[in-house]
Amino acid sequence: MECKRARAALLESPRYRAEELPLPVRDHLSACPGCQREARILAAMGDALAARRQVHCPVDIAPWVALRAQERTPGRTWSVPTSPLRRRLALGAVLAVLLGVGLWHRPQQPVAVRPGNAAATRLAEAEVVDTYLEAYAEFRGTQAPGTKQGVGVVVSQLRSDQDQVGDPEAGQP
Amino acid sequence: MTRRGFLLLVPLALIGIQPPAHCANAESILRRTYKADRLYSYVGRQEATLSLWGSPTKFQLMFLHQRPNRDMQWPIRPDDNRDHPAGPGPGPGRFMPRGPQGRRLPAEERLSLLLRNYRLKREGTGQVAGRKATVLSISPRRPGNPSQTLWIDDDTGIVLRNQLRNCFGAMVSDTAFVKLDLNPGPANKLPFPDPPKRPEPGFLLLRPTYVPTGYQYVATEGIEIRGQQAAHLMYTDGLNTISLFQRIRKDEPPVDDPHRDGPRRDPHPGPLPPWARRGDPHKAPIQIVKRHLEDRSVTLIGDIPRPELEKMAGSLR
Repeated sequence: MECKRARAALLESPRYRAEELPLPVRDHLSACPGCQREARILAAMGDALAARRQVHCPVDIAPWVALRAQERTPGRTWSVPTSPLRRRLALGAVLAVLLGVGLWHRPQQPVAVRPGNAAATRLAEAEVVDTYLEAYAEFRGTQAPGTKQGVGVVVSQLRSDQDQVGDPEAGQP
Repeated sequence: MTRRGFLLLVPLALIGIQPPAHCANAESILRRTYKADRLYSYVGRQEATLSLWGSPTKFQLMFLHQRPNRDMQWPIRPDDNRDHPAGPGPGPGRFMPRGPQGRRLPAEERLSLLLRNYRLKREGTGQVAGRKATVLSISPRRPGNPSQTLWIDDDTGIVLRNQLRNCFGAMVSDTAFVKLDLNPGPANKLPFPDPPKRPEPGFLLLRPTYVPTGYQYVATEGIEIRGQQAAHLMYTDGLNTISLFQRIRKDEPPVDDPHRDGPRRDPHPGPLPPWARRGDPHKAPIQIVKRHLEDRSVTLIGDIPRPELEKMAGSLR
């Protein structure tokens, strides 16, 4: 009778632990070898079930496997428990790599002469130089006698030469 | 004995007082050309030969001058036989002057400046467009400046032919009248466009502390480029000119200093028109130097050795 009541209390205890049972039941367990064996088996089963829940293993996996999984050292698992210092170091390393990659790919030329708008920049600059040449020719033409003819011709030819080329990069001698 | 000595001294004194005959002649001939444009209107066909990069190119032009100071020239086809144009022909015409006359020094001042910096020599006589001409050469007193040979009409003083050599002595252009008519007729009534107004540049100007020997400041004009104001500072030695342009820089690529990283393959720093990238830059008819100084984009243009322009650019304050 004592054994029945002790084993019933053991089954109802959380995680089948004898330490958490009332004192009269524990006294019986310490005196009864059969109940002790039953308590050891139940405790092992409770540990295995708890381990299976912790590692989220399938239901049909052997309890001892689940226990082995639970016993694995932290360094041999995927999820490394990280300290705040480690996290900061990792973040710093990632940022350093990104910065390095960004600097490596940074264009050597300024934005204004990237291939995308280089043609537009060249055209604008050619227009500026063209206007300057006009003004230069006009001024020079006013200075010495006969110069208005010679210089005017030179600059006209330079301009038409420029017009004929079209593509600023296609200049051929 | 005294009388003999006196007779010997007279010719020596005369030689000492009088300038060489060909110089005096050349100066008076050149002086006439300054007056010719004020006295005569004319129209004519010109043939021009350009030797910009070694290969001479020939083409024809129509040139119209309305006294005292309006000129127009435009290219024409070789088969165009019209002598009196009814209007500007096809192709881009060039009207001069396009701006006010403030940029021009008075004729006397220009002539005296030219005589200070250039030597005149009467080379002989010739014939251009069926007219008798005196050939006059203008060569620089200091190396590094252009030279000219002019064929000047004996009757009017109009320049009939003009050969221009750049500061390196390379032939740049040879422009000559093949036909000249001193009675332009209807062409004399051709309307000229009003010169555009040149606004004053709206920013503080940088000025060079170094100007090549013989050159002097003439004037400053405002220019508008793509809605942006620029300033044109003009310098002359009586024949040659240097133009200094400056404007406030706006998001432009930096101009590289050619001396920073050793010699460059491209002698022209910064983006330039294709013609400026061709051929031997030392024989280019016009030298162009570009710099970025503080917030300014500065461009110097002149027919003068590049180091002089660079020195001038470096002295801007």
